[in-house]
Amino acid sequence: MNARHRKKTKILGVIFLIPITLFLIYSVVVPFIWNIVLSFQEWDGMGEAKFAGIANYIETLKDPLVLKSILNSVILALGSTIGAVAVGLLLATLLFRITDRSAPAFRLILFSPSMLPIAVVGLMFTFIYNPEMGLINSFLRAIGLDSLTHVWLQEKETAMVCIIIAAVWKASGTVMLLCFAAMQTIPASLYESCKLDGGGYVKQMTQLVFPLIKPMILLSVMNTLGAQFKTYDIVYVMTQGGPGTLTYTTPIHMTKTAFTFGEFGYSAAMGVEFTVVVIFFILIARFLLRGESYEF
Amino acid sequence: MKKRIAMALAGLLVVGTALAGCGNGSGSSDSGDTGESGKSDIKFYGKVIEYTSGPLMCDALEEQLGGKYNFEMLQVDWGNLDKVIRTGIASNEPCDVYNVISTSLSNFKDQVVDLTPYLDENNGEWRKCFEPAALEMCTVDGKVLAIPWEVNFQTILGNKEAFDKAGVEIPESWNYETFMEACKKLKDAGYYPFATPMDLAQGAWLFGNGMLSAAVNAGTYEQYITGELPFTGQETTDTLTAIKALYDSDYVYPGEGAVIAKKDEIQAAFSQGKVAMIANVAAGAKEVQSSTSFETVSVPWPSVGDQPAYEGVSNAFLIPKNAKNIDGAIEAIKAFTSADIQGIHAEAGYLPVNTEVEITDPFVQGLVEQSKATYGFSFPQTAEYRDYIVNNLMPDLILNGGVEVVQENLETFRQDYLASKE
Amino acid sequence: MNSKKLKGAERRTTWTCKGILLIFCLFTLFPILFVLNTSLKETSEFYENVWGIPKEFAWGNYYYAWDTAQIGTYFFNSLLVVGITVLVTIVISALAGYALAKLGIKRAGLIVMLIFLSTMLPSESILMPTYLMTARLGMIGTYLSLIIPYIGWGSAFATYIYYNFFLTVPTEIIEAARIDGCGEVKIFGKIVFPMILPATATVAIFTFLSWWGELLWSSVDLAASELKTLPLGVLAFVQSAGTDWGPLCAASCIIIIPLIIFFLFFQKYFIAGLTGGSVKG
Repeated sequence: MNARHRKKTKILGVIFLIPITLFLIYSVVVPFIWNIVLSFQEWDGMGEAKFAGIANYIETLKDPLVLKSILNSVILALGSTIGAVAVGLLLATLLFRITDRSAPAFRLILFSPSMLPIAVVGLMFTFIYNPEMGLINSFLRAIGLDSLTHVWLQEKETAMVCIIIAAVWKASGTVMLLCFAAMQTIPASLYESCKLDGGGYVKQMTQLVFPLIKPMILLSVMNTLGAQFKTYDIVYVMTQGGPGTLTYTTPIHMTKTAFTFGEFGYSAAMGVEFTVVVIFFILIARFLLRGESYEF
Repeated sequence: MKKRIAMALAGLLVVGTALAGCGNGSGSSDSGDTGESGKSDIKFYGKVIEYTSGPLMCDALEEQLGGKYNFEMLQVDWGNLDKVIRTGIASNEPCDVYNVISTSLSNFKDQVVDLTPYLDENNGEWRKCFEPAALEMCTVDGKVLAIPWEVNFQTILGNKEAFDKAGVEIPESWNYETFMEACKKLKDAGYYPFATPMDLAQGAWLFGNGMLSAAVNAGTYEQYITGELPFTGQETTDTLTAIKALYDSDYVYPGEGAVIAKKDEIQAAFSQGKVAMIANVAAGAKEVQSSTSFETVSVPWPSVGDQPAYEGVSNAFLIPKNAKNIDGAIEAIKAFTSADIQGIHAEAGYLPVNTEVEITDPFVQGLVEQSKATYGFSFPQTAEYRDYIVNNLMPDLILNGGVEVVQENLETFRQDYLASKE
Repeated sequence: MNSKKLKGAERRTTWTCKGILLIFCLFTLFPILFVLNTSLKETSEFYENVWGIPKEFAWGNYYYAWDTAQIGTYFFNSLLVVGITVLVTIVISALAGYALAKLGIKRAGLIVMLIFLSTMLPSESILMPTYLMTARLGMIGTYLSLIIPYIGWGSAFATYIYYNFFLTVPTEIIEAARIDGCGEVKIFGKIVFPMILPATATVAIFTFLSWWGELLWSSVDLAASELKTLPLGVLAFVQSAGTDWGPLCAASCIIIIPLIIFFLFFQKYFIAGLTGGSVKG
């Protein structure tokens, strides 16, 4: 390809990028900058915004609740991402094996948790975790393991775990789908050569498929991580951040600060700090799962 | 090929929708303008569809004033009220009337129209229609910032069978001592005596009612409202101790998890006959009463001290300062709170706020009688205080330290409130 | 003989896989069954009988849900909004992904990363600015006020997916087509894009799913307008004094149906790869 042609393709490339750039400027860049500006102001959402310098940021450093909610968010995000990716990858692996007509049914069923509205998911988990008549404790009592019954959503050790389980349950379908799609693009010829080498299914998977779809696994990790950091619904519906502030996460804190207390500047400052935390963890994930992408 | 078709389709659809979207850009640019018929518009964010009377009242309003105004009746989204109102006002295109819960009025106090002058017009003509307690709930710093159309307060519903079995008589009123005695008998008869929800912003009832009755009985109500007296006083200590004793004696369902019990859980337990008394909003009381398989009766709240006092909230209408049609809004609210339309509400089994309405259902009548002993005790009227007592007070009291910790925390809010007034 | 042994082992592996999957399915199916079960009870019966089969089947819940939650109208609204969002998202993300993967943009990896990271800002922070922007443009409560942000917020992830998939396409094919005198746009549209149908199917499903049940932005934007989407319709049953679970579950069941249909429809594009990615030979 000569230089002129190369230049033409580059120009075409830039043209191809224009639509998305426009959309991103409107829905992401502008709000982001607005938010940063807001973090240096004091605003109640309705009146005039007053300039406040870095007062908001200093305030966040002094507020123990900010640190606690960030910590909770981190625990939730890391726990549920690791869980969801592990489960999702496992499911995709198992699913990939099924080639008969039961496969679409399996795919649908396993993907379905992400389709339910969060309100009913919350209701269901409320009655699963209820200490007196909930499924878990009733089951434990029925098989004689009374001592293992807990007040799941109240105790420090178990509350966060319960939320993580619910989050994993909801998110693993997505990971499964992504990995499964990636597995589809591997040509059969590569499988043949692996089989001839005497590889069983497990070997095929771990030595051939996983390395090839590593970029997709990385994508699932980053996407799930980002989504779990942002999650508000599932925590709110299960514990409202409680009891007290035990399971407070940053989105909950930010929403309350902005819309209930009317401190948009403070909330924006938290938002900026939180974004930094999120990006930090995503970059770590990227570093841990780095690898080349292969052409096949 | 496929892709090109897809692109073309997408392009067409985008263009088509853009046109449709512009056409459907309803409301925002129109409010306040007069249409061809000379009618002005009113955006009325007050249609409560969960009440059977809600849509009916809105229809009646439209019938009454439809000749003069174009009404847009909008459904109330309880979960997102804060967001809806703040964003509405911020965009300078708010609704003319917003339904709020009276306890959150202080959040908006600088942004809404002061309705006191309208009430006092003509020698207080409009003011006379209302139960004074209801108006008091909507008063912030001496100004009436919203007009109530419904009073709501917390009642206790009791399982009559359980009371009979335990040999407990339901009194006209009781204090925490007699209440605890009754609880003991109920517990011995095999029931969980009491349950109260901790979600849906209902976690502050025990403290609210207790503190209120303590202050009323000690005659210090006014001083607490203005923030004169600290929360380390006797009234607070008595209240918190009484509540803690209730929980420590394991009288509250489901025992260990009582501090996080959700409304759905306790209602299920009550319906299944496991709990003798549940706290419930008065407006929803009739529904629970008619759906249980056993007889449900209304039970008074225990007070700290001998005289009963209940904390009430009202559902009220506020008018943002930057609303486009303030006069129309006032007229609409006046009509909505008139005896006719309030009568619709009462008939459906709810609690009207207009004193001239007749009530036929004895159960509802009993509730209305109780509502006369309500106060709008929401001191010190900051959003942070409200958030604390609703979400954090009970966990702090029962799980994280006890009476002194709570008193300390309450004091910080009082100090903040006093500081903000200077 | 060797092949027989292999076949036996293969079949055993398949059955093991099926078995484990079935166990997972029980866990995932349980909630759906719960919702279905509850949708057929009156809310008062639900409180008395949380887990069991309804004593009387309350089919009325479905009618009530359809009527009160205005599911018919809101369904159409949601379909229009999400449908357009999906289409446009696919188009612009595929273009962007291809440009970054194959059209010689410098530091493509970095750009993709930046695009992806841009979505890491918490939704709550974006809420108010977006609302004010939309208000200034006079678009509050219109179809566009939903579609444009949805496209913007979803296209980053979609681009990333497309980028990754396009990277796996061998450059030789593109080179060969160029030598054959094929125009760049034609190469994209007729050769490369069809090669990664699983990617498009994935993006379609994800985008549809992300926005079908979106609540945060729509509840604020559409609060004071007649236009409402399906998730807002479900809110009708969430009341100040509690939730009407019977009809809400019925409404949820009605809502899931298009999701299921959409999913089943796009699933078959996954099968394209089952024959060993033979689309790529």
